[in-house]
Amino acid sequence: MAEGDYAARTRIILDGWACRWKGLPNGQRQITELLLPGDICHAHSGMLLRSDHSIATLSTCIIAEADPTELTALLKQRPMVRQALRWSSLQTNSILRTALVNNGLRQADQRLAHFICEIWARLQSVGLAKDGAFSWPLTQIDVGEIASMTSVHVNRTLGKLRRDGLITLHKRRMSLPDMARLAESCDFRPDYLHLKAELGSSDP
Amino acid sequence: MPRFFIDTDDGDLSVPDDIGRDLPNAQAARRLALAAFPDMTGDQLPDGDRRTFSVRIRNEEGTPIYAAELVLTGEWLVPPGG
Repeated sequence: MAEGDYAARTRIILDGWACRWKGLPNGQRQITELLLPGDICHAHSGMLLRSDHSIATLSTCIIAEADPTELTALLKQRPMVRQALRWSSLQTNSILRTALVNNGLRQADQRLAHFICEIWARLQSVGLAKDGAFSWPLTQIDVGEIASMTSVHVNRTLGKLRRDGLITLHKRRMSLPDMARLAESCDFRPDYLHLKAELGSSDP
Repeated sequence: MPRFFIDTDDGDLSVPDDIGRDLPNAQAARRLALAAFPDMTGDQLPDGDRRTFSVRIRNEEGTPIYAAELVLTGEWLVPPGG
């Protein structure tokens, strides 16, 4: 799914990791958001004719497709689904705002620590992180394109977090031995993820 | 594509590259190694008047093929006061 394509179908990630990304003519690429299991893309594709970004998988994925016209009908019938989609859009905005601050202001070790905490919180909320450990399919190049740094510096920074006992990364699995210390090191507070939002409290 | 390993040192922490990356040629490895300097200095500076940042590229056989240093040398020309 490339920038400029007609976003004809809505897709839902059932398993695996994908991303939204945009690039420059010189080939540089910025991953703007990670799409984790449960995330939806192009939910409102009927409204925007062409996609303003590209979507790519970062691991093997299982993806469900939905016809936007059926989705529109579903949203009319099911206010809770409508609210859930609205919540998802709001959460995406909030994650983007936080990523702007994270990439713009934090130094590399805190930036990656914050990103890792966020992934942990998001995976935890869908039951995919147990005892502070979760799957980590990202290459150092992927992480660089998320955190706006060279893959060389990603290697350095992950090495530093490892040396400080904040992460272990083995066979594409990330473990956080001291979650509280990791969160404190980068001032991670998960409230911006709005994981405890109450659907149904007010109809949008 | 050949694999290159880029070791880095910012004066506090030396990190050997144990993963490496596949790149078209040694010139691309040099460009990537040098591009890491702004990231490394951004994390460490300002902090004192003396610091050496260094990168080193090894090829698949483990032979070092390129090394670069970026050196900060700061010096007051009049006493700073305050």
